[in-house]
Amino acid sequence: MSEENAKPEKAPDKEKEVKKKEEPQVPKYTGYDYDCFLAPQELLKAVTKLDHADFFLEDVSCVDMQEGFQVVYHFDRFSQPGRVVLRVMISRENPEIPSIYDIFPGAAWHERECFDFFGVRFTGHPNLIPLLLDPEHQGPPPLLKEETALKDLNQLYPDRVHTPVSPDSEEFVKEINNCSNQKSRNQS
Amino acid sequence: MAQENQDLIRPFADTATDEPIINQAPVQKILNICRAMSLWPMTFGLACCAIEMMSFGMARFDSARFGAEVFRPSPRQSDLIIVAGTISRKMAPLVVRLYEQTPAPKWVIAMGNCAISGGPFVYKNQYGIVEGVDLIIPVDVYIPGCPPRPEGLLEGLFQVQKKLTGRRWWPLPEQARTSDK
Amino acid sequence: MNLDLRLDTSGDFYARKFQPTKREDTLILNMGPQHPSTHGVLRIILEIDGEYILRAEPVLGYIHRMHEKMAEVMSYPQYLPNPARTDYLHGLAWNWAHVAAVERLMGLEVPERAEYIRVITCELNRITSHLLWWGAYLLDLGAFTPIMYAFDDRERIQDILQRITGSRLTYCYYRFGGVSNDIDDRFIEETRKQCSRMKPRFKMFKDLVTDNFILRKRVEEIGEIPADTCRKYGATGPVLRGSGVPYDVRRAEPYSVYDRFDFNIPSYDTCDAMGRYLVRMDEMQESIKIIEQALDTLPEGDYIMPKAPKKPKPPAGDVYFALEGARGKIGFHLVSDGDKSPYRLKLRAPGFSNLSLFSEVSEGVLIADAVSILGSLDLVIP
Ligand code: SF4
Repeated sequence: MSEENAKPEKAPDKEKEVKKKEEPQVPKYTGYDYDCFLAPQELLKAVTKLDHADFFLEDVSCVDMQEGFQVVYHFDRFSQPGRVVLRVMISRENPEIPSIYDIFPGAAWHERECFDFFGVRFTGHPNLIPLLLDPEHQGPPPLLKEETALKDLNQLYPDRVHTPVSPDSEEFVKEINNCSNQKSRNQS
Repeated sequence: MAQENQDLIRPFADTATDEPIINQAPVQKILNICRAMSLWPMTFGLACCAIEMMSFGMARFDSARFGAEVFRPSPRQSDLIIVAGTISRKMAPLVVRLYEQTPAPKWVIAMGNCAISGGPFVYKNQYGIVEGVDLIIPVDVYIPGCPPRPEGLLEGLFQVQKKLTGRRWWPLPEQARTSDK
Repeated sequence: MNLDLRLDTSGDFYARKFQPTKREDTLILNMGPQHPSTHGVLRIILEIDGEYILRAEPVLGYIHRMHEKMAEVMSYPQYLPNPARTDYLHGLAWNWAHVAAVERLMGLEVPERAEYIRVITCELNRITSHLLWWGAYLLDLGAFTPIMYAFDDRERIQDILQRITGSRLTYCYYRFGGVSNDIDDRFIEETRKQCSRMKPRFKMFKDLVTDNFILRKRVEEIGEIPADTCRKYGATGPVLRGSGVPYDVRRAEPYSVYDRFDFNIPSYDTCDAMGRYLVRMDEMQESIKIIEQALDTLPEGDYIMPKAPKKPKPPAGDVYFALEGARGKIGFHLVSDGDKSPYRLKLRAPGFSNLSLFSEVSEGVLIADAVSILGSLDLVIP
C-alpha cells in the first residue's frame, strides 16, 4: 500500500498495462466440460438422464442475480471424468424448483443449504428445515444480495448463450455421453 | 437485519455456586494446591483450535507433566473448560449448558481469537457467531493466537494454576525471564 | 431470539422435527454436539431400539462459520487465510483450491518450481491429516497409545512445514501465482530425512495396530457402503476408494503437475470401515512416494511468477476448480463479476457429502459400530 502511495503517478499506468494484457485472456479451461441452461420443468428429466449415464452429484449451488436465482448443479463421473453443469433460472418472487432428492438422495443437504442461504424452496423435498443456519435466525436469508449489488446474466457470463436446452434433444444426450475432461483440455 | 440480532442480550450463564463445606482459609489453600496440580480439562473442541489442544495433550507437549492429563469428555467430571474454537450462535446455548453442568470449582480458558472475540470471523452484519465466549460464560484466562501454539496453552494452564495458588510453579523459559525484567 | 434453552424440556427445534415413528418402545437419543467421537461438533439424533439404531439424523451447523458470505464481503487477498480454516486438518489443500480457482479464471501460469513446492507441501500436509485421523480414530475405538505415535511423526512434519509456511496448522502459504517464499536446502534435507524415517514406521503401525485382532473385529464388515451409494450421495475420497472405485481427482482431472508423478491409487473393494482404513494407510505411503519424486525432479526457477497480481481482479465469468483433499474432492465454484471480491463462491466440502450418507449406512447397526463408522468417514464438519 505504502509503496503505491509513494508513486501515485506510476501506479495507475501499471494497472492499466496489466489489465490490457489480461482482458483477452479467457480462461483456457473453466473446469466445465458441458455447460447448459435448462428450463425448470425439465430439470428432473435431465437429472434422470445423468443418473443413467453414471454421473454423481458434486454440489448444488445458487447464484443471486437480477433475473432471479440461478441454481447450479454440478455433476461428475467416476469412470470417465468430465464435469456437466446444469443451470436453471427461477424467479426471485417465487423461488421454487423441483427437488432432485428422489434421484440423488445426496442432494438433500445441498438443497437444504440453498434453502438456508437463499430461501429457494425445493418442492418435494422431504425435510426442508434449516441445516447450517440457526433455526432461530431472523431476517432474510444471509446470502441474498442487496438490490444495488445485483448483476445481470450478461455482466456475469459475457458471451455465452443462455437459451435453454431440451434434455430430450440429441445434442444433450450426445454431449453427456461423450463428456470428458480429456477432450476439452486438449482443445485449449 | 443481522445487526439487530447483535444487540439482543444473550443469556449469561448461571454462575451461582454453593459455599464450600469447610470454608477455612488454610484448608482451602491446601485444597487449591491439590486442585491446581490435578486439573481435569474437558475435551471441548469447537474448531481448528481443538487440534492444537490435542497436540497439547499428546507426545512432545505432554500436558501430563503439569498435572492436566486426564481429558474428560463429560462436563460433570472435569473442572477446567478449554473453549477451543468458534462459538456459533447455534452452539452458544449448549456452551452455556455445558458450563452449568460442570461442578464448581471450575475454571475457563478461552483459547484462540475466536473464543476471545470472534477472531477472523467478525465483520459487519455477520450472522452466525458469538463474538467472544465471555459474552456467555465467565472466563479466567485468555490465550490469543489463531491457533495459539501448544506452548501458549501450557502457559495458560500455568496462569490458571497461578490464579488458584497465587504463585507460579514452573520456571520461566530462559528468554522470557530476560525480557521480563 | 431466545437462546436460552435451559428450561425447554420438550427438546429443541430439531428434536421436535424428528418425529418418532409409530413404535412405542423406542428411545430418542441425542449424541453430541459435545461428544468425543463426533469430531468437532456434530450432533446426531438417534432413534434406538435397545442398542440398535433404527434411524439417525445428523444435525450440523454448530460450526458454521459463514465462509461463503465472507468471501463476498472480503477481497481476494483478504480472503486468503480463510479457506485453511474451513478444513483445518488439510489447510493447504483449501488454500490451494482458492488460489488455483482465481488463477484459472485469470489464466495465470504458475512457475514450475512453485507447482512442485505446492505438491510437496500439500502432500506433507495430507500425511499429517491422515496421521491425526489415524490416531483419533483409534482413540474412538478405545486404543490410546497409537495417537502418541501418530503425533510424534505429525509434530516432526509440522516443524518442517512451520519453517517454510510460518504456521503449524492453519496455513496461508500459497499466493496467486506462486507461493509466498522459496524452500531451501534445509527444508529439502529435512523432508528427505522425514520421508525415510516414516517408511519403517508404517510397517510398525501395521504390526502394532492394523493386524491387531481387536481392531479387526471393530472395523471389518462394519458400515458397508456400496459403490453405488457413494455415487448417489456424491461421496469421494477415501470413502469412495474404500468402496472399490479408484477415483482420485489427482488422476481423474489432473491439476498442477500431478500427471508427472508415478503413484498408485489404493482402493479396496471390501466397502467396509477396514477398506477406508487401509486406503488411508496406503495413501500416506503414496504421498511419500510423490514427495520423493518431486524432490528429485525439483526444477530451478521462480517460486512466484514475476508479475503476480497482489490484488487480483479476475474477469467476469465462472470457473470450477476441483482438488483432492485428504477427505475427498474439494470444489470451488467461483463466480466473478470482474470486481475485487468474488460475486459468489461456493465451497464443496467433501465431509459434507460424505456425512450425508451416514443416516442410510447407520440403519440397523449397533451404537458402538456407528461410532466406528463415523470415525471411518473422517469428518471435518464445515
Ligand atoms: S482462533 Fe483461529 S484457529 Fe482457533 S478456532 Fe478460531 S479460526 Fe480456528
